[in-house]
Amino acid sequence: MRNLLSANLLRLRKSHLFWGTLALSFGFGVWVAVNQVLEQMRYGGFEDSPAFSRYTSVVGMVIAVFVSLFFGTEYSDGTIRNKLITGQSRISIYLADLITASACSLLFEIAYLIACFAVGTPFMSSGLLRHLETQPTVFVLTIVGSLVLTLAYSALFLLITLNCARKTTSAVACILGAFILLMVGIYLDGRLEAPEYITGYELSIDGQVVPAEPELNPDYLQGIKREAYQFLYDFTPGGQTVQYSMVAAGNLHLMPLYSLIILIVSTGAGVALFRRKDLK
Amino acid sequence: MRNLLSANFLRLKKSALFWGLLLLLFGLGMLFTLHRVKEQAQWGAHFYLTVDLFTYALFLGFGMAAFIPLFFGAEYSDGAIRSKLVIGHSRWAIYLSHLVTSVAVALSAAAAYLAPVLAIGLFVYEPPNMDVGTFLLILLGSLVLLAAYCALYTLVMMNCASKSAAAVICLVGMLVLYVAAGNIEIPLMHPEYMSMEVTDSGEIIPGEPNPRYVGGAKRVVLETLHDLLPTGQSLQYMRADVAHPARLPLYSLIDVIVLTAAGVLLFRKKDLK
Repeated sequence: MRNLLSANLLRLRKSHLFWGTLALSFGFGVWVAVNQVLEQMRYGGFEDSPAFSRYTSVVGMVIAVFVSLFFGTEYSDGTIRNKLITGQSRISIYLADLITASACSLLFEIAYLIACFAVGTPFMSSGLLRHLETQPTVFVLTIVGSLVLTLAYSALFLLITLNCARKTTSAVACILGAFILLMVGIYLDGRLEAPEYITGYELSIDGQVVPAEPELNPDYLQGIKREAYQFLYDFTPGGQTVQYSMVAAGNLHLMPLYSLIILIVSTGAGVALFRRKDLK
Repeated sequence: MRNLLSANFLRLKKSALFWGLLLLLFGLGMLFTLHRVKEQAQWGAHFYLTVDLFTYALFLGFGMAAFIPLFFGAEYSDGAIRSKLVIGHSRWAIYLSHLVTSVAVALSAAAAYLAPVLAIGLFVYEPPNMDVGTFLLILLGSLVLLAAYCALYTLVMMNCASKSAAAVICLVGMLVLYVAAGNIEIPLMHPEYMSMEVTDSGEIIPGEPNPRYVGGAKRVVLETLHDLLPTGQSLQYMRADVAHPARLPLYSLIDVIVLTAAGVLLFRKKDLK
């Protein structure tokens, strides 16, 4: 296991993909923070979610590309067969790759955060980090939760990559998977955000525009259906992505737990499939 | 060229990927339409025929980004491109045959989407709230747009030796272009004034000017860029809200010509090992 990890580490050190993704994550952090500071200076406020959480919306895609390309090569170059020949078990190959993928995903997110805080901290009074001042618990839990979320994404995409012999297919499956997860999150958010009552406006007899009687919104989710949607919104990586990127104070204590469940279940399934896979 | 095309079509007929794409688009068309029908029946909502009609302009932007590298990328890894050259086909003929095949795939997938939407929609939706000319221009434009997407992905796929790199570039490129188009749209959507007041005589008095409003030359540049980007066009077609319906197909044609010319030039110089 230690040999496998150090082999991965050596590959990482020489990988343009790894350094490129790290640099892009850092650059993205600088860009987002600078833009937000500029908007703050120009208009006295900003419309979007705070800069520090913005990376969460793209992190799934970043990990999908990185994991499928970096670990997909193990198949196309026959590295996996070599590892087996040298006596490594399939489970340790899988776990070594999981640890490497998770560490890289954490590093990408941390690189973004460092860039963001480096630019943002001097402007703290201007509100870039307003959540740290107003809701410190939400701020900390959002950062911790989005870091744990990257682990869930790594495990999911590694499950696809190590069980798909064709690198192109796994790259397409991972990227489309990340996209579909995000779309599911946005859809769930839209359904849960629908207001319970709709208040229209009507013209009174004297020509004044007055609010009409509130009507029950047919799109509003109720009862067990609402609970099911809320659970999926908290459980699925796409739902978590939407919540973290908006710094929504939802079930912040539960979401990292759900991410860990996804990590464990997908690793279990991945190892079981990988052990039976015909590596030719 | 004819041989190349018939070889491609033969491969298509046997390709699970191709039939899967058609089935997916058909399923999406069916799903959207049935959902709208349910909404109409449940709470008496009314929709125009155009409500989901052109959504394929966005789906196929993503669909072809996955299909083209997966389907044609195998030519590199299997050495089929070298075989085609050895039997005397020119590089530009190979390139064009790929482009024509992918446009045919995109059009078939669009037809697969339109079939359920039109078959049910014509009976349950209100007629489009636009004149026939504009409707046909939007329909034509959205189909020419598919050719622009195919030209873009063919350029990437034919000039990228690594199939997986081509797939990632196409898919991530599509997402980046989509986000770029969305970001260009945001400043264009800010109204010119913070508020408007209507007097008793029906006169409109503008309130405070909106500092976020973009006007003048900058607005023209942003609008042109939005129209030129395939993803900007997709967003407009998807909403069936197109500011310049006559201009967009022309821009797509320009995209096709420029991208194909660049692609053929690069491909002619490429070392195929």
